[in-house]
Amino acid sequence: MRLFAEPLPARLVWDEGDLVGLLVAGQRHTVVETMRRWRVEADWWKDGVARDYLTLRTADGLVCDVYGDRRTGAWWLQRVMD
Amino acid sequence: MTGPVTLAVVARDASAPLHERLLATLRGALPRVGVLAPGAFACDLAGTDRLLGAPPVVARRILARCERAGAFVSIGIAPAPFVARVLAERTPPGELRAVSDGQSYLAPLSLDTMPLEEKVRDELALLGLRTIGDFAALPRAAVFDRFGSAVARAHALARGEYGDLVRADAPPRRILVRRVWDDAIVSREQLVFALRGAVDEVEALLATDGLAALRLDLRLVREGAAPLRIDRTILPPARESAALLRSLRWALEERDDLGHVTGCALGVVEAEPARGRQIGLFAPDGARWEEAIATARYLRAKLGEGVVLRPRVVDAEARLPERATEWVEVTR
Amino acid sequence: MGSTGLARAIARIEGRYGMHALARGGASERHRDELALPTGTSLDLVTGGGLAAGEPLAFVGPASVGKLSLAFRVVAAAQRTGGMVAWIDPSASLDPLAAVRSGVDLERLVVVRARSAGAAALAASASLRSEGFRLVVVDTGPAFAGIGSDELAPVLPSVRGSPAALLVVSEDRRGGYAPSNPRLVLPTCTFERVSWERRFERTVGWTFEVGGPRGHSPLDKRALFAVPALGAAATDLGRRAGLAEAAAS
Repeated sequence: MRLFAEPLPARLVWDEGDLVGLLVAGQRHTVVETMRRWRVEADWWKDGVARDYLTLRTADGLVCDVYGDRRTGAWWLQRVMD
Repeated sequence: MTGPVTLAVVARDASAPLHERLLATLRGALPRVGVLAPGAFACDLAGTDRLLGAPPVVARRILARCERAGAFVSIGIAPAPFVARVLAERTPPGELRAVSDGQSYLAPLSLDTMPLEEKVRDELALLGLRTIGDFAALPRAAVFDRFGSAVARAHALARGEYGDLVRADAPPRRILVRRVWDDAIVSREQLVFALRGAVDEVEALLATDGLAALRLDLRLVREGAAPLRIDRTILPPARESAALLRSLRWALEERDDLGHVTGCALGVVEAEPARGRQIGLFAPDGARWEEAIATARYLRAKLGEGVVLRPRVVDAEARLPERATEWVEVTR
Repeated sequence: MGSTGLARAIARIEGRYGMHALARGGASERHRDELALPTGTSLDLVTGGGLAAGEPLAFVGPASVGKLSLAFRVVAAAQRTGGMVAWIDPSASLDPLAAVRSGVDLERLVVVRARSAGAAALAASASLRSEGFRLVVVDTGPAFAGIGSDELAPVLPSVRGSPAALLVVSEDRRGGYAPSNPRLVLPTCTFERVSWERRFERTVGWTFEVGGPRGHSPLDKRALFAVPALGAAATDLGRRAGLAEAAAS
């Protein structure tokens, strides 16, 4: 498992409500499965952290965790299984 | 007593000034003096019979000198430093004792005497082993397989093995070696080859004083150009010519144009007592740990802060993955 | 020469040329064992008993196959004998919790986030030349955020004679650009996914196999591992041949 000290900016590609692609570091990966999804909320008494996590599997065998920051709308690649 | 001999000197409850006085006294009388702990010293007497006399004679002289310096010390004489130290610690102040068979001497003593971790000691006790003799009687391979190399080294100590290098704290002596070449050297590879002889000589001088080089100063004399000066830190400190030459080669590779080199002066600017791997026998993994930390500090100096780190788990259940661990700079 | 005289001579030689420079007669077999880092898993069958001091080895395979999981096992093996490990991490992606799950002792781990290839090579070389480490790992990182393994060529001269083994973990850039004359040629263990594990139409894990240095590992001699759940450490399934035999009997 890899946990990036600085998550990488990511973009998700949707097609009619289905997640079909992941863009990271200028490379596009075809998403074949969303394996898990969960939500994390923390520090609600302060500014608060609210993230939607997805574990994705891509056509080239990448299994990774991305999260969407619900406050900013930005997506980040945080973990890669290995 | 023929063969290796160590004379261990122990002064109980020595203050820092007394430790310094004793160190100076011993250095004044003996060629190779190592410091084991505050007030505890190990002196390698190998090969000194003709020069200084038989070890017991030397020991009595040392007792008298230390008394004049203000301390009643205990002296142990044995083939191996560990045995000599244990012996000295069990000898009354102002007296000396000698043993020729280290293993027999250690056998009846309690395992508490050995440098072993408490959990290893507990485990040995569960096996019914309480004395050093019990421990020494175990087959070496079994000890290694069960406990690993650190305990295997302690096992060797228990058998009175390993003559051991003594940690020397000799006074600094200027080490400077010069070379002159009739034909100017223009290629880096040629220069490295030519430096080998000088580096070998430096190694020999370091070895004589029991030192390892921490900093080298290489001055290259060049035709039609100012001398080139290279200051090189050696981490961890080394004595072997291969390691010193490797470091100099890397320094030379960082420079584009060396010019036409006609001579050199190679000096050791800083040195410290050499520590063989055998020093690990006194503190089983101490030497390796220190060298790893020294390397970490070197890399921190080279690469900056926030680069050489050690992670610590602070909350294994943290829901935000980045909060599960903290990262700290490796300083020790 | 008495036994202490012999011991002293050995100690002197070892101090000059390195520990274990002398194989002690019939103990030379154990001597190799003392230098090797066995993980206690089927990986040892593939690596010939474990990584050895002064020798390099590469783990190469696609993303998310299990290279790091086994690399952590090798780290744990090095630490079991009391050794320190340097982990060179240009992509700053070492996951301490995952490491701990695979048996790594964080106290004996030094992580170097050397971001550039040059810095990584410097850190690896210094760690190998030091006598403080038992294992140096260079994790070149994922294809999209790492360094090229070719950039580690300057490190190789530091490996021989080092008391440490060198492990390079690298992603197999299959289908992408591969230099025709790679500068770095290392004994390599190749990782390949065998199958995805699915339950209730969902992928929950996978199995993968590890083959030894090229040309030495027929299909039936590869080591098989399973990742039973996301984030779990890899479990040892044994040798492929062993499983086939068990299934047949």
